[in-house]
Amino acid sequence: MNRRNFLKVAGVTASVVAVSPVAFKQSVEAQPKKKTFEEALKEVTGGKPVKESSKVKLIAPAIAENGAVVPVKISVDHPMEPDNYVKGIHIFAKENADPRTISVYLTPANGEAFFSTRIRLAKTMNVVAVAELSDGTFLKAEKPVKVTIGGCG
Amino acid sequence: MLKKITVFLFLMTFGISSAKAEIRWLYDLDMALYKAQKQNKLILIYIYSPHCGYCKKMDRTTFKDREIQEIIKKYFIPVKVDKDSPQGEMIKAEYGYLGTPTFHFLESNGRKIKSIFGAWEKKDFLMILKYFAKGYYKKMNMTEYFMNEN
Amino acid sequence: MARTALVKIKPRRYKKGDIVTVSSVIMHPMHTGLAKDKKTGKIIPAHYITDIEVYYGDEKVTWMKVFPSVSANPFTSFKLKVTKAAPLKIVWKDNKGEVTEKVVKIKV
Repeated sequence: MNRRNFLKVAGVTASVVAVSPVAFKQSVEAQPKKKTFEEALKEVTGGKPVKESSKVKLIAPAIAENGAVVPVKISVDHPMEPDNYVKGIHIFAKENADPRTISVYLTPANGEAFFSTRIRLAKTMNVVAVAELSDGTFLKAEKPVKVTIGGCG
Repeated sequence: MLKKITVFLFLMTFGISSAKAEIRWLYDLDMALYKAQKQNKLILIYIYSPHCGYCKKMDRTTFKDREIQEIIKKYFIPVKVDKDSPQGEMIKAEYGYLGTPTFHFLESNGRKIKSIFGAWEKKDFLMILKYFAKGYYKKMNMTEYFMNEN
Repeated sequence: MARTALVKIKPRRYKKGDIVTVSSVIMHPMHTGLAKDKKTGKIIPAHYITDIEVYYGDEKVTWMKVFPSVSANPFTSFKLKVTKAAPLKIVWKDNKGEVTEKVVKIKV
């Protein structure tokens, strides 16, 4: 369900903080890169290897009309049993000043390894989803998301 | 004399065939609405500024592309207005304005389907145009369309 | 000062053993600290959600580390296995120490 329907159903009439693509682009490009993707990834994995896996399903729009609001959905095809479960899903925006966007920590109580949110992309780049398993291994999926080249306020 | 005529005709032919692909932008929305209804096409409005480098980039690259020109010619009535012109102000007031370039996609009766902001590479703009041209806009929103990678 | 937040469970009707989707939104600007106010030219100070915690009854079942690259008015959605009748509480914290809580009852 998209955000507009969700808000409508929830009966929200309060004004939403709208972020125009122009305003956001200025904000994210204002400073040089703070952290490389490799550094950001290491924060999460501690340097352990990360394997590409089809068990990690990353859904993101091939073209995002508004880089300030890019929906991403991640499903991991893996059990959520007490001694074998997905304990973390980490989402990276490779070219952002700080490639880390959000890390969600799950428990078997979730029942399924799934997470969805909306992130900001400063420009066209790859989004990477890393699943952290309870046995300490890391799996990933990566997808390119195109954003406008730019525009003028 | 015959040689001059031959050369002239030769140049004219070339001139015509390359001009054929160029987008024939209208500058008047009313004319565009009239044509769109008559030809049963969508309307593509391009609000630009002569001072905006991103608009110039679109004009130099994306809009010079053959595939882009062909899909526009086939499915859209294209309108181009300067954001600071009277027509531009009318269009901004009626359909909104996100900065330049702003693209408004309208149905033939003038009803706005969607607005898009920003310059796009040819490949990406082509996919965006297809979303409207092929009628996907009737079934799903643009983000859903690109999530499914149609 | 708490902010407006919404929590929604889908489907509306569920029974023990079902896995439901819990979605939430909190109204928050998520200022990255990199943007300038157009009028004053000054940098808008960083103001963003840093942590989200989810409690099902007394148990912390899910938690999130949030960075400023999450879109304004953060939307998050995850799954939950319905095992008991208990309150589901979501807590949002931001870098200024503001805390917002929202509770919905899981009824079985």
